[in-house]
Amino acid sequence: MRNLFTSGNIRNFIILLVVAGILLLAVSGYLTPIFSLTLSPLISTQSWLSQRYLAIRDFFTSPRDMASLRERNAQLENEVSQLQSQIVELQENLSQAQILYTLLDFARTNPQHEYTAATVIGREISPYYQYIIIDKGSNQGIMHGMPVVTQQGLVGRVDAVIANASRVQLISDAESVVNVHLQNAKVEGQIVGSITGEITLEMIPQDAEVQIGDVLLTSGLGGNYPPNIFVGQVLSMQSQQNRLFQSGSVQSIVDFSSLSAVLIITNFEAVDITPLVP
Amino acid sequence: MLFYFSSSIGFIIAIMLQMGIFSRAVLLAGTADVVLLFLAAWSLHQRQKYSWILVVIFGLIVSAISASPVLLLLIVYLTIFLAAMRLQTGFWQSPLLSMFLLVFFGTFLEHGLYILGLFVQGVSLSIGESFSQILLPSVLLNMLLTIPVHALVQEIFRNLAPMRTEI
Repeated sequence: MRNLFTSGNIRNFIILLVVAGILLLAVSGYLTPIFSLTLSPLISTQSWLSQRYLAIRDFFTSPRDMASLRERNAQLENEVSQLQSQIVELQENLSQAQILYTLLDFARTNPQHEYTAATVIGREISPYYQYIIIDKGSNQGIMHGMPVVTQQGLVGRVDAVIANASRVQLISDAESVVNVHLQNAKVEGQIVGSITGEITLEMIPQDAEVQIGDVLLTSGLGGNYPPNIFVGQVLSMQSQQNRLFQSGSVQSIVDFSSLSAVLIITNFEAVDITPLVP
Repeated sequence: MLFYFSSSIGFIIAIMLQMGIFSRAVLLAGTADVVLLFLAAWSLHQRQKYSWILVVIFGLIVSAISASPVLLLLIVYLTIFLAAMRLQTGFWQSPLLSMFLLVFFGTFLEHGLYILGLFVQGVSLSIGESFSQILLPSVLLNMLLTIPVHALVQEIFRNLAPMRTEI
C-alpha cells in the first residue's frame, strides 16, 4: 500500500483547504471589502476604456447616423407641418361652425322672421362707401331692400342683387339713414352713417334725456327695417342751445370690419315711400 | 387677341384682389386701389389701337359691382388711360416715373371726384376729414404698391406688348 502522506499529497491537500477556505470566506461575505478594493480600479479602467471606444466608434459611424437622423427629422417636420395645416383648417371650420350656430340660435330666438344665411365674400372697392358683397342673390330669393342682420344686431339692407350675389349697404354708409328709438328714454331718432364709417345719432329732441350707454333699436318707421332690431349704444351726446335737436355718436353692436356671415330677413318687404316725400 | 384676353383676366384678378383683400386692409379709413394701379400700369404698357374700349368695359364692370357712380369711374379710368398715352411719348424711357405720376395724380382725381359726387348727392361730409382720414392714407398705400404692381404688369405684358426700342 502506497503511503498517503507523501509530501505531494500533503501540499495538494493544503492548497485545496486554502481554496475552500477562501471560497467559504467569499461566500460568507468576509472578502467583500477586499474585492471592492481590488475591483474598483478595474471597473474604472473598464469604464474609461468603454467610453473611449464608444466615442471613437461614434466618431467613425456618426456621418451615417446623421444622414438617417436628418432624413427622419425632415420626415417628422413634414408630418408636423401637415398636422399644423390640419389644425388651422379645423380651427377655421370650428370658427365658421360657431358663427353659423350663433346665427341659427338667433334665428330660433326670433321666429317671427324668416332668414337666409350668407357669407361675406367682399367689400366695396371705394373707401367712401360702406358696402359688403354676399354670396346669395335672386336665385336664393334675395330681393332689393331686405334687411340684413347678424346675431348681434342690424347690419344694413340689400342694395343691389344679381343671380348669385348681392350688395349690402351697411348702416355705417354715408347715405344710410335708419329710424331708431332709444329703449330707455322712449325717444325716436335717426342714425346716419358717414364716409369714415362712424355712426351719429340725430333728430333727438332737446328736452329728451339721453344717457351714455342707452340702447338703440330700430323703430320700424319709414318701412325700411322691421322694428326692435338691436342697433347699438349711445357713446356720447352733444346738445347746443341754438340747435333744434341733440346729436351724438353711436357705437354699433356689429363689428363691420370682421363680418364673415350674415342673415337676410326674407319675409320683410321694404316700403318705398319716395313718392310720398315732397 | 391674346393681349385682350390677358388684359381682361388681369383686370378681373385685380378686382377680386381689391374686393377680397385690399378693401379690408384699412389704414385710418383709406384703402389701396389695386384696380387703379393695375389700370395705370396696364395703360403704360399697352400698345393696341382699341385699348380704350377695354378701359370703358372695365369701368362699366367696376361700376356694376361697386356702389360708385358709373360716370365717375369712366372719367377717372379714361383720364388715367389718356394720361398714360401722353406719358408714353414724353417719359417712355422711365415708365416707373410715369407710373408714380399716374398713381399719385390719379388717386387725387379719383378721390376728388368721389368727394364731389357725395357732396352733390347731399351727403354731409367734412373735406378736412376726407383728406386726412381717407385721401392721404389711400395715396400712401397706392404709392407703396406702385412698384410691385408695375413690376408684375411689366413682366406679364412684356411679351404681349414689347416696349419701344431705342433706334
